[in-house]
Amino acid sequence: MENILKMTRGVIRQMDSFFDGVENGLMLFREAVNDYADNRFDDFSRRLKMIEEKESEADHLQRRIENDFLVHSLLPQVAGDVLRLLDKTDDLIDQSKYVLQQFDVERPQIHDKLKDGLKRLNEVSNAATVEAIAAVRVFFSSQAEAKDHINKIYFYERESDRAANELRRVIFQQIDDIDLAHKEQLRYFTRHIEQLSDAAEVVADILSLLSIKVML
Amino acid sequence: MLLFFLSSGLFLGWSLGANDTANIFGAAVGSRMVKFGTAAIVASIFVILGATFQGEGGAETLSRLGTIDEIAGAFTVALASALAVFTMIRIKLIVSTSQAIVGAIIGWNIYAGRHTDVGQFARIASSWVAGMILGALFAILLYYLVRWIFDKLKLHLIWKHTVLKIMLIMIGAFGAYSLGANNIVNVMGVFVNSVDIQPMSIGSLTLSGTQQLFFIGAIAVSAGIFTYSRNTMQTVGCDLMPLSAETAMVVVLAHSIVLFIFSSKIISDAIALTGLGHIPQVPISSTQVVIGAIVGIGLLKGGRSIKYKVLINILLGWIATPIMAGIISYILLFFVSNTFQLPVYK
Repeated sequence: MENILKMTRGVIRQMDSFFDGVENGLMLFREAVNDYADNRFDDFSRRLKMIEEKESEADHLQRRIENDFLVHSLLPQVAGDVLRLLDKTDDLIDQSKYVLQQFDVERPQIHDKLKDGLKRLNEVSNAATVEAIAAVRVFFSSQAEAKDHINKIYFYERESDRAANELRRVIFQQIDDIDLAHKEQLRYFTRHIEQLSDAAEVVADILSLLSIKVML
Repeated sequence: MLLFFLSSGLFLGWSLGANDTANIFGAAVGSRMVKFGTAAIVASIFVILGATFQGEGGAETLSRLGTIDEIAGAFTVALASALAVFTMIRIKLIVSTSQAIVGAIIGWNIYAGRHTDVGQFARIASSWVAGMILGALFAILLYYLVRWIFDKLKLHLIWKHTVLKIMLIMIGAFGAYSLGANNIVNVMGVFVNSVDIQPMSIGSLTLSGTQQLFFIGAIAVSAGIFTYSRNTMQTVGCDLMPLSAETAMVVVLAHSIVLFIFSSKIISDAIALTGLGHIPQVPISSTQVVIGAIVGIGLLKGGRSIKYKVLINILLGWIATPIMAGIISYILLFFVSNTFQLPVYK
């Protein structure tokens, strides 16, 4: 009896640590992109290093949680869906790290006309991912409350699409002093950031399905 | 020789362990909430306890229906019951040893020229119907209660899983105890009046002859659990109850309460004090009570998922099983007494 209670406490603690890690990573991402847009490259590099550490810790925790789910047959009827949910949650920090690494490798020059748009895209796309973490976290205690967050994820995902399209419109229609290759590069970066909200939408879809399965 | 004559009852016991424990632990084991080893150990211990310490009430009820006073007769009646159940399963009717044993005893009454108390039979038969209805009612009440408790507690899903796991084991233990208490009479009840076993004392504990007989029967049930119930738990259990762990817990608890009620003298006496009359201590079908509980929850959810064919199947079983067992019993008694020259009644 003591073992099963200890195991339960341990798994929940690991899950909380995992969500904390991913959430911190996402907040670091938001700040790092703003740093880059404002040419604070030292701060950007420092935050990139921090997110790499957070991502590594999250991977480690995810593997341990997966292992516990399989060894202890936790939530057997929805275990597959829950593990997929954790995997897609981990994708949020994986992708965030990847985007920052691409900034670091390619060092795209952000045109002054694009800075506000880039920050706006960063803000709404990041908001979708932060809501995704909040939804996953609350889902394990209250499926009804998770629905509120799921609605916000869909909202921010749409806003992200809109912000990304607006930004690309500025890149290709309003800026004449950079060449097409540079525009293409910037377009890819808008896509990278936009894809974070798509990843949050994937989490929302899984959560919607899981909520029904759990409440049946 | 005694062991040979008990063999038909022991076979029934083995069959009870192999099949009916799936009603208690099927959903838990099938859904991997509880390991088979844990389920088998818990079920065995509590079946033995229930059979030994609370099984006697049902034996008195069956004795009032027919007092089989020769061991060859008891052997034949138990064998007839087993054959009737086997035959009915082959034709895919949902049957119960509880109904078969009653029919087989009536067959013996007819063969031996004894009077069958129709009132007693009616009380027993009405308890089969009442068992299913009570199963449904308890399931509905418990479903609301469990849902309300979990909604209020707002447990983390992992905590909920742990609580359900512990509850499934505890309720399974209660279910196994009730199964042993209620159904052991199907296995060994017919031998009570034909086997003379002296009381035995172990320290301060004294076991009557009937208790020792039921203990032996419960060992056979336990053997059935360990040797054959794994498959039934993993297949039959899941087919019968493709339910969530929460609902499965409610179904098993409703089933256990009903079986306990129909085997507890204390509850029967307590209800009699309220003026509602005695609840007969009579063996009822574990499977049919579980189906009653599932139907109750099905009704609660709108009734669309209820398979009415299954209910008709059970109704047919209530009529056909005792008749079939009675006929087989009569034929076998004739065969045993005339071919082997064994006395089947005094």
